[in-house]
Amino acid sequence: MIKIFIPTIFLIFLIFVFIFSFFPIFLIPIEEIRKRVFLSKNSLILIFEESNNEEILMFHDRFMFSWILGIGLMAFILLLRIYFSPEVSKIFKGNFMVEVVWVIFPSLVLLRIGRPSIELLYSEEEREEVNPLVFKSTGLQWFWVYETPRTEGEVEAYIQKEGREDFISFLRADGELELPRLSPLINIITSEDVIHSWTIVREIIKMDAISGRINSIYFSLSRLENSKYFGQCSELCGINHRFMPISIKTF
Amino acid sequence: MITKLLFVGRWLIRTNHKDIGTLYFILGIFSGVFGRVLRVLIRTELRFQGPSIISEISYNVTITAHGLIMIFFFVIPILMGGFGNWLLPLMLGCGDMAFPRLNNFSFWLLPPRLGLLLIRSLVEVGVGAGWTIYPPLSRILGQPGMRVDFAIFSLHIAGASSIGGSINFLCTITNLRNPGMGWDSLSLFIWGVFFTAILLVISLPVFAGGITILLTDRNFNTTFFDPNGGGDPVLFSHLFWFFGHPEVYILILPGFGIVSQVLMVEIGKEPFGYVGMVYAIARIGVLGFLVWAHHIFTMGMDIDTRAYFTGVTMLIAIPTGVKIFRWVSTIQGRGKIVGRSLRTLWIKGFLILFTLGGLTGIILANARIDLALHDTYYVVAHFHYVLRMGAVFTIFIGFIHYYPLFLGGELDKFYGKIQFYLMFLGVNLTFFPQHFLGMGGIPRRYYDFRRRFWFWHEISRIGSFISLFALRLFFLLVIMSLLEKKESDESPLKTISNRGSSLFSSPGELHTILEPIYFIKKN
Repeated sequence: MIKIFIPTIFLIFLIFVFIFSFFPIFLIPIEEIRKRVFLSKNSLILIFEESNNEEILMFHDRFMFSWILGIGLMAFILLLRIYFSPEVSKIFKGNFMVEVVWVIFPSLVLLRIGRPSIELLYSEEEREEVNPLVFKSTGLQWFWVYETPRTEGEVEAYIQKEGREDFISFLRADGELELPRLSPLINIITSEDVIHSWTIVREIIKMDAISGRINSIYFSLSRLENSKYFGQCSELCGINHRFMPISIKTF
Repeated sequence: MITKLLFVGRWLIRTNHKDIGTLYFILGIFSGVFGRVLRVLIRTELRFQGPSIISEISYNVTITAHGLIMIFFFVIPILMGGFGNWLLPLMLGCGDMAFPRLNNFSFWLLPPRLGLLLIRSLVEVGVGAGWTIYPPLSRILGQPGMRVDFAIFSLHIAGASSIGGSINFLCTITNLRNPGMGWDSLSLFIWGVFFTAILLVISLPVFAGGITILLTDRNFNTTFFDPNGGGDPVLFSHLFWFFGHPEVYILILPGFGIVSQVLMVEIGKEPFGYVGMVYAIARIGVLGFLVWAHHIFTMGMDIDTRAYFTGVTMLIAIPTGVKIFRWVSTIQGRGKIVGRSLRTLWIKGFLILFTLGGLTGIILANARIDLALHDTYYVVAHFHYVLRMGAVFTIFIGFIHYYPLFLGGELDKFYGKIQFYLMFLGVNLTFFPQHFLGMGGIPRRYYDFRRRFWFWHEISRIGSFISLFALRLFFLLVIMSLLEKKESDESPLKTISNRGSSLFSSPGELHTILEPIYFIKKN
């Protein structure tokens, strides 16, 4: 009895799984799906979204390539050996040469990856002799306050009301930060209450805003006027953690 | 005295390692289901923009609870408490653990702890600070009321329980080995648990210290983490992650041991390079203490510090990779690698997916790229790959393998394979798209997302539902086998070690080894 009963339950379960998982999609009208899926310029996979930072992109590509190639090669050779040996070999319990190879080889691959990585890291610290423009960002729950030499006093950047409800993007702040293009900039970041995180997605920079501490980022923006940069707060800071956008416009 | 073995006597005042192991399993499975419910809540909530089924505050509470429960109540009790307690005395050939009453005490600290955690969710609105409970968000400013204090007490008790259990394990392994067993003939599961216990004993006090001063900050007007009084929130981050990083190795090392054992039985010989395996485990453990700050690359550390942590984190890849290569070399002979037995399937799944998780971890180790990926879904995808598909898969592997020992009978092979494929599909569907989300820039712990990310969130949700049902199928399998009471067609002792004769019955009896048993190595 059990032998018949339980497998049928199993089967019903299985069908139920698939219906239940996929069913809600059918509730959404096809127009909505089309709008949402193809909104992002026909690209579903966004890698470092529209980043202009070629070094990082190249690093990431080279990185993935070396890593996958190196490890894949090793694994492939291993699997070949295994696949073509006819039976389980009870004697193959240890082999010094193999051990040496599979410690040395990944180390070499890691060196190959690590060196450009460290170089990239230190290149961030290279600063030119030109006087950078310093501006200050302060994170509060749940908005940013900017002070730049250009504006008098402070600019408070709350998320715009339409940003909350329209859902086109969460990235519109009602106080935009205006920064000069092409010149080196230093952003000194702090916070007045909890830890927030200031980031610009395109420029691949991120720094936590911590109260009692001033962190700084050195970067520069593109050469186009009126180009926009954005970011979102990246450290859990409470309820409206998702509603603290960073919006930058160059002039 | 308790000769009648009433129900209370049997289950409350028990010091038998098997019973305590069973209790740990029950607690762990219950908590695992609880954590899974939370995860499904999260995924369902993230289906549409805007609030759907839970409010914003509850969402933060849900993600915090999901993290804490999965780590402290599901993986550690099952791997260390469950498998460790059941298997350690059996593998060592001794009668019980070194301190049986401490064992019992360590277990019975856990249910109140679970209770405290649940109370925390009910008091006011629950802790919404993420499982890392960074101050100042977790101080009195960000989380008013008593809820974080309950969470801190819960974690204190967790620490005490784990430290007690670890001391027990260490003493048992060091002292209670049967006289013929030297350090070089311990099975690999024992080595895994040994190093896990060392990691726990060293790192948990630091964690306890950190959350204690968080407690005093919240309640007794100290200013350890308040810059107004000369403190620094970054201090908590360092203290927390000094524990937090060995913690994740604690989660995975017993699993490594289990996989080695199961592989040994499946293939029929010892894993490749026993000494090297032990050294690899030791290296992972030791290096785990040196790399904690790769979790806080964006907090504004000195550049040389960041370069050091980048380098050392990448170093950990080597012993871990070496272990994976060793396992693969153990599977020599084409029959085995193409073999479709249930355990081989799970092991293959584990090897591939854990390696994938490790690769994404190496990417995150680089400080420069981490600036793009820190606190995004990429990190979430990475640790779920290594935890969900690393640690939890090893739990499944161990449970399926030792099932004849724990419960008697055997899981149905055919339906077990179906369940495996379903779970494999489910977890991959859930977490692979999260890599794309993370690279697209969506931050973590976000209750909403921009419209363009909807597609991958939806796929992730589908995967999450599928894996939820796969888990239910697993429970159904267990019930099925309990009802059918099939005889296992393997000698149960083979599930313990490759040596010795069939001494253990299936399921394991209450008192197995009344005198030391000499395991003799046959070469």
